[in-house]
Amino acid sequence: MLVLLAATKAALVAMFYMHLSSEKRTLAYIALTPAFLCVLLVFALLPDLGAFTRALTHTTPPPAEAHH
Amino acid sequence: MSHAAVAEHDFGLEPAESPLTPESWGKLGMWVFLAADAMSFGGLLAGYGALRYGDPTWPRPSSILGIQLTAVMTFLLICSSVTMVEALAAIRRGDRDRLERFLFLTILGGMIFLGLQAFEWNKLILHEGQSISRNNFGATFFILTGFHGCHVFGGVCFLSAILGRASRGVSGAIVVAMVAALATVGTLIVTSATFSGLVGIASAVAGGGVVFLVARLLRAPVGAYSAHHNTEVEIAALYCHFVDLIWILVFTFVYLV
Repeated sequence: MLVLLAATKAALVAMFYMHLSSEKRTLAYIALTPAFLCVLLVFALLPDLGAFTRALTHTTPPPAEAHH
Repeated sequence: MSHAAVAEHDFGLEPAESPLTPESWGKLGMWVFLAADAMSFGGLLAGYGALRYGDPTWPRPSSILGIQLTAVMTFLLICSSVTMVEALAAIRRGDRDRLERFLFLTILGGMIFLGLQAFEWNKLILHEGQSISRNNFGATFFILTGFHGCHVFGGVCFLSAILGRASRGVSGAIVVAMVAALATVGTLIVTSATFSGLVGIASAVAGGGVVFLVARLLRAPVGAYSAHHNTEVEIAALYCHFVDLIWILVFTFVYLV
């Protein structure tokens, strides 16, 4: 909910304070490109979430279940 | 016949392609810069998210960070965006006095924001024992807020240059930007030395006053901006709003979520 509100506020600032709503559409594409790339970046990082942090913090992963 | 028409007739040149921002290439340049800068912040925020959500021992931000103080800082930055909108609206009406007044308020807002950030960092480092090298929380927090603080500092200098230029051309821009940079660094030093947010605000107000007075002293009969020539003010406003926009995201992800 908070993230949604923040994204809405950021979009309103870009559209009205930065006049993106009244500029040419290509300029909006330029502004949206980093947002699109950041979403891609988040998905690219997803597989590394646990392993990457464990490697940095030197914490051991939870023990695997013993086979009976 | 205009010069452009003569050139076309004589040499068979193609008319220049209409730019995305017909009134100024500088505006297009600022948009491209902001897109690249947004990618920098996006990379930092994505890295923050990856470290945070992969670490079950990550502390709750509200248990360490002072949310109320940061909420005040956020409000201050949003207000400085509003004063920047007013500054641009004023010069589009040809009102130079209001342009200078609202530019000054925007600069002052940025300086107070930086003073409060220095106060917050002091509290975290000296009283809470946080540091950039202690853990991932400290590393991501200080890098993200520090990178944003550098942008606010750049904005203070940029807007001061615009204020100086509004008063007296390029020389005024250089003088006022240098005074603003010194005043902001002085604010940070005073805040760090006294560990008090109120002293930070007081010194930022004093520093802002010095910037405004220098701009006034440099005042000449004809300013650089008018109702028909104000693109640089608009470009500075774009940067100012971008810094505000980014802070809303940083505040949400680092402090609230």
